Amino acid sequence: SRQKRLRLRRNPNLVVGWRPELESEMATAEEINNDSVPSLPMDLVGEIFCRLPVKLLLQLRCMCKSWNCLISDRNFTRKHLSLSTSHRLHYAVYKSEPHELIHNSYPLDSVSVLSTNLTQQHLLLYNSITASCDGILCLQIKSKGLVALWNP
Amino acid sequence: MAEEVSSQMNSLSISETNPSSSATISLVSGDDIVFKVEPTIAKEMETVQSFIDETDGKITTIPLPNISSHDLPYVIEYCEKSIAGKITKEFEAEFVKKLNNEEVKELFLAANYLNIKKLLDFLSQVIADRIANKSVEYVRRYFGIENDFTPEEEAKLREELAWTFTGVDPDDEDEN
Repeated sequence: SRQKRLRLRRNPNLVVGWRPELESEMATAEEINNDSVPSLPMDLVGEIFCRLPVKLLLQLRCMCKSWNCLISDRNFTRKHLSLSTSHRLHYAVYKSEPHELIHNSYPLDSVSVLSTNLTQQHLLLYNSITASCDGILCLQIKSKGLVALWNP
Repeated sequence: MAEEVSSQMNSLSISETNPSSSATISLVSGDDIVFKVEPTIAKEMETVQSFIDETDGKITTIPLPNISSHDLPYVIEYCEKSIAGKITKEFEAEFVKKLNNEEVKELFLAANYLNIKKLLDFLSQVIADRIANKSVEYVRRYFGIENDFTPEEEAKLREELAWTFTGVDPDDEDEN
């Protein structure tokens, strides 16, 4: 009977049997193609939504019930936050005359990184510490409208 | 024994494909147009590459039924630039300039199907930028999302979110 089993395993039909699997894979792809309306699956739409400004996202809660839930969902907001902060540098500046708090943001790839050593004297050049995150201070240069990040 | 079976499988498949064509990969669009690309291009397309790997590189003609011959050249162009390390802001701006919103969406679906992470990320941002000032109705239509709120529910939610509804562009009907 062992002999028989071996012959079965050598049976060329087994090898042929390996091919229709591929064809069935192609058939499913074709079925998808027949659905000509290119509506996007929800996870793909999510990829786009997590790159939108918050104000529009809040408006989009009116789209339908499931998006209303998803946009308010913690996992979604976390993803949005991590993308937003990894693409733009946000900071707030306080102006004394008139009393105003101004929000500024730059695309991160426009922020050039110059490494220098800062001393107390250098600090005189800077207006104020405008933000801090994980121990990194964000300083604004008085005259030039530039910002610097400092790891003291 | 398993080794013997697999070597038999190999010899069978070789006899069915033309070994001389193994240098290039043929991608067949949904409308049956064949695009010949270098294997390095195929590598950028994870879906295609895993197909090649699964068949031990013996199958070099790959049907892509849900990608049209209109979209495929764009995908190939992007992959070529990517391999050459020439994806610059200028190239990307030029690349999408000639595409309308529907074409960008189709390309986005193609990038997802082919599993090209870089192109997918890039197009996500392009679409996000393009819809950033659009109305809720436009975004609904664009993504084919069905409104399942009752008029009362929607009105109530809109009232809560009233402060966000400023500075929206009017819908442009002939956008496509």
